[in-house]
Amino acid sequence: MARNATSPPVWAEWVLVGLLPADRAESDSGDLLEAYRDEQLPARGRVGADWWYLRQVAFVFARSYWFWLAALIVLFVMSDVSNAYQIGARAAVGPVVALALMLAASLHGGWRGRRISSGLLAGITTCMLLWLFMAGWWMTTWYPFSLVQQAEPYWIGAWHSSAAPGETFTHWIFWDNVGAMMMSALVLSAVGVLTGLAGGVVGSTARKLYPRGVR
Amino acid sequence: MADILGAFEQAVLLAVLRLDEGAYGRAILRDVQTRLERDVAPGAVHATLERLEDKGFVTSRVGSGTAIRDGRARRFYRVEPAGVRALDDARYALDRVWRGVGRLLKARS
Repeated sequence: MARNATSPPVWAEWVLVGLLPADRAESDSGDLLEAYRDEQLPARGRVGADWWYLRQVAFVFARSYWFWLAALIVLFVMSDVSNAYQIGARAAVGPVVALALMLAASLHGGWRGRRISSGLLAGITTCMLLWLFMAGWWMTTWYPFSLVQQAEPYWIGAWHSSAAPGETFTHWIFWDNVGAMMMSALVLSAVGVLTGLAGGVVGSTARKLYPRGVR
Repeated sequence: MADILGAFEQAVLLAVLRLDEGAYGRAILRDVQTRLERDVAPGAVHATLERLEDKGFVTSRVGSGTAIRDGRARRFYRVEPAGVRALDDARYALDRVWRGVGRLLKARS
């Protein structure tokens, strides 16, 4: 669909409508469109108004799903720190809890939006934002962590077994982080779609069966 | 006494009351921004209206759209008696909290 010169990005409008409850999507998105055209475009110009609109979409997401995303981020940070420093038991419970949280975000989306697409959107967006955090975290922490890791027998063993001949520990651990980033993008995309669909179906169906309750 | 309305909830509810027949999302947003003299996210107003409706303080009906909204419907709000009582309670609570403090403030200024 071609974009109108006085309209916000089509994809952002689509995301906004998907995140809003079905019965309020039209009126609330209409209010935002009115503010965009009536106030933001004349005052900020196209780029500034688009940026304002995107912040409003982010606000709508954050207001409803911040808890799930925050829990996933905390879980990831704890898991990454314990992995880098080899502290605590390496439990398999982390991924299970992460999956449960992603499913919960999607269920919440399906319930709140009363549509499968809302659950799907909540699942995909949560996974995408988690991945953005993970990527930023790995790119920020790989070097300080590597200073500790290069003295850890576990990481020294991993370096010896998988590094190319003559490759330094620092070089190896950097590319190990880049590899993890690329793998996690693939895995999180798939998980976001699957949990999003499952949560969307269950959440929206539950809302149809039990129309009253928490938003 | 039920939970006292927060300052932002009061601002939104009073805007609905003030705007009367013209109380829809964007108009409420503008009124709240003007009264509070700060930028307010439309999502914050929508969320508050949703919460106030869940509490039975306001009701809403869907009205017509306009060209600037690409014809998208406007949702008009109305304050219910429970909402008026909640505003009264909030004002009464605030009055009690402030009672006697004006003299002390004057003495210290």
